[in-house]
Amino acid sequence: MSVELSLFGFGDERPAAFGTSNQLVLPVGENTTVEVALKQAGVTDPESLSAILNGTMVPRPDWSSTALCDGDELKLLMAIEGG
Amino acid sequence: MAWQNTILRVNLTKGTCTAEPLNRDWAQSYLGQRGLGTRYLAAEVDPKVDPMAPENKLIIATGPLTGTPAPTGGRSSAITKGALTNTIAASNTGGYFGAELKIAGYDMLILEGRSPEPVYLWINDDKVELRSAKAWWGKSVWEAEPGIRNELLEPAARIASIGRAGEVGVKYACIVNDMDRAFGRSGVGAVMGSKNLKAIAVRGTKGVNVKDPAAFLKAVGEAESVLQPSPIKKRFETRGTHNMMDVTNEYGSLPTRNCRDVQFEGVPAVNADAVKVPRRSDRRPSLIGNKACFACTIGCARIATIDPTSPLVNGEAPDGGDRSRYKLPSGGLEYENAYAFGPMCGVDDLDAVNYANFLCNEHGMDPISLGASISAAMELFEVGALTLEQTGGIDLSFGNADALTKVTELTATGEGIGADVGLGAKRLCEKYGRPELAMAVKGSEFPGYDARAMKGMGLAYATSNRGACHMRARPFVSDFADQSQEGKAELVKTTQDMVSAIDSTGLCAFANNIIPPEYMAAMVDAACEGDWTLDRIRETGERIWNLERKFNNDAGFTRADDTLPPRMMKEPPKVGAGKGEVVDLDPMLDEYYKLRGWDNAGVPTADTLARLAMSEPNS
Repeated sequence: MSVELSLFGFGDERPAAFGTSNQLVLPVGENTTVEVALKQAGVTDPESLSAILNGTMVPRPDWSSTALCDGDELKLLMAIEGG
Repeated sequence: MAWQNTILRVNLTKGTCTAEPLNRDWAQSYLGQRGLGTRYLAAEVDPKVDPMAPENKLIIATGPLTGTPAPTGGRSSAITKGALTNTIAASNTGGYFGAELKIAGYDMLILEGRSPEPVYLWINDDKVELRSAKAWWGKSVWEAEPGIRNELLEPAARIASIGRAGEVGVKYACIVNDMDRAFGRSGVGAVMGSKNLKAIAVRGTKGVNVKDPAAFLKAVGEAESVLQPSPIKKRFETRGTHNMMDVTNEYGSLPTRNCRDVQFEGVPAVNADAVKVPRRSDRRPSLIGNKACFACTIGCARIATIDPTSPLVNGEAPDGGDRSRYKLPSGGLEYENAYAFGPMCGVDDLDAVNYANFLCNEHGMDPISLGASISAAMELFEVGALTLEQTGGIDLSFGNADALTKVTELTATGEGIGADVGLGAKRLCEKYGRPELAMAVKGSEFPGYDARAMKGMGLAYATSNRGACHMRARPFVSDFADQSQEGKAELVKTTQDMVSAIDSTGLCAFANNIIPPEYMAAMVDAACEGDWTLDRIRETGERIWNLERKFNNDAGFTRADDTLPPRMMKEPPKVGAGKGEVVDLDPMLDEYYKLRGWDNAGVPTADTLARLAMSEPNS
């Protein structure tokens, strides 16, 4: 199975697996959690990250218990403070 | 040490300029810049004063680290009673002006009274004089700044000036320095204009001493060692704050069409990627580079151009001049100005958004307040409260890029519908009978974060001492990770205190995002007389926040003013992370007041004032 990851606000800090794209189809195993998928995709510095799974925000404490399903869309938002 | 121990008092009514010793006791309690300037203002100005009256004062204050090599140590603040808000105002700028003032030997300027004729202030180290500005009154920042420099035959002078907006009393007029940096919010430029003060020119050659130079350089080096490899620093440098637009849009917290919506379909046309796409006409992107302020090694400021074939930069301008001046580069899009002229007005035309921002640089207007005021006018127009006849024939429908640029031109000079837009969203919406459509708190328009998806930001807006502001607290990361209201009161309170302290050092809040506070405390401690631990700096920040609050309470502000527009509390968005949610403000406010040591009406208790050593009249 696989999930689709999309990056927002990463700029040139994309993990290597993404190449020059902000999208990545990531093959994952059964019961892969958000936390594991992020590690697998090479997403580091999760302190500033928000994860939105199929349109719903996943609170950070739930990343390790939220399992992904085939075809899920996981959007990752990198916030920067200020404006 | 670090402080110059000198303030310059300029009485514009009498035409006198007098150097005075700094109150060093107050410096030990309020540090500098925002905190120390507020202490002087609170001591010298009746909080109930009309902001535009000669009795109001305008203080330009540096911090102890301003003018030093501390990373981002170039900041200064304008402190006054705000023309837009009637609250305490403390607007913070970068560029080079503040450092030059400090290096000329002054911790702060106190500008009082009103000149009978337009003047500008020329500070050349110890030589200070008021000079006629008759030749510059009516001119833009872009004309006055180089013109005054030429008149003085001093190419190294740094200049802060008002444009036409400050002269005609636009409520959110800025003071612009270094052509496109600004003391931006709260209408400090309108106060300067009310004093018939066009500009302040300064040349300094004295330098700044610190308490322990070796320890200071070590602390600066350690701070840089954290700053330089930081990915956040790189993000600020390469994409600027503009980077945030994709995030807020996807999250559903991007104020769109006066907060009717929380996501904008036109983001790809005005985001941080759009400004890097080469144009067809000249194969150059809008964004041509970035730049840094004094002592800054981040460089988040943007330099932009407009398509040279655009009608906005060709032909005759409304002032009769040549539009070709807009073909030159100027300060470009960052998150807030891009949000305000783009999504908030529903406009997806990059040149129009850039042009509106250029006019803000040229004429001295706060782009956040201007964009949000235009968006309020657009909603008034769409609901029929503002007619085509009243707009002078301008179709103010959301998304109309021509309307955005025309109304911006009219606002800068106070003409037509621009005179009403220049009142700010609150007064505009009150005038046309729909006060609930103003996306503002205490008269200050919303920055680019919708509170329904960001509850901490909602509380930060409601309790900010200068009205809605995104730079008075730091709930960003928490808000993007946690939809609940739990813990937000404490987060907002503690970050408000820390930001108050940072804003009083001479450092930039953006550095505070990267450099841990312990490192900042080490720099302050090595530079300033006294022992400056992190705990003491935090307590100083809390003291500053309470002083500002007390000023506002004495000006007549109450708990009822710590609120949000009804839309934030009654109209849930249909999409995004805040889908179906509104801000439940009162419980957060109760908890916040309790944490602050304020009574239920939002007034600091006697115990709190005593704890912060604020009980005595001269403390």
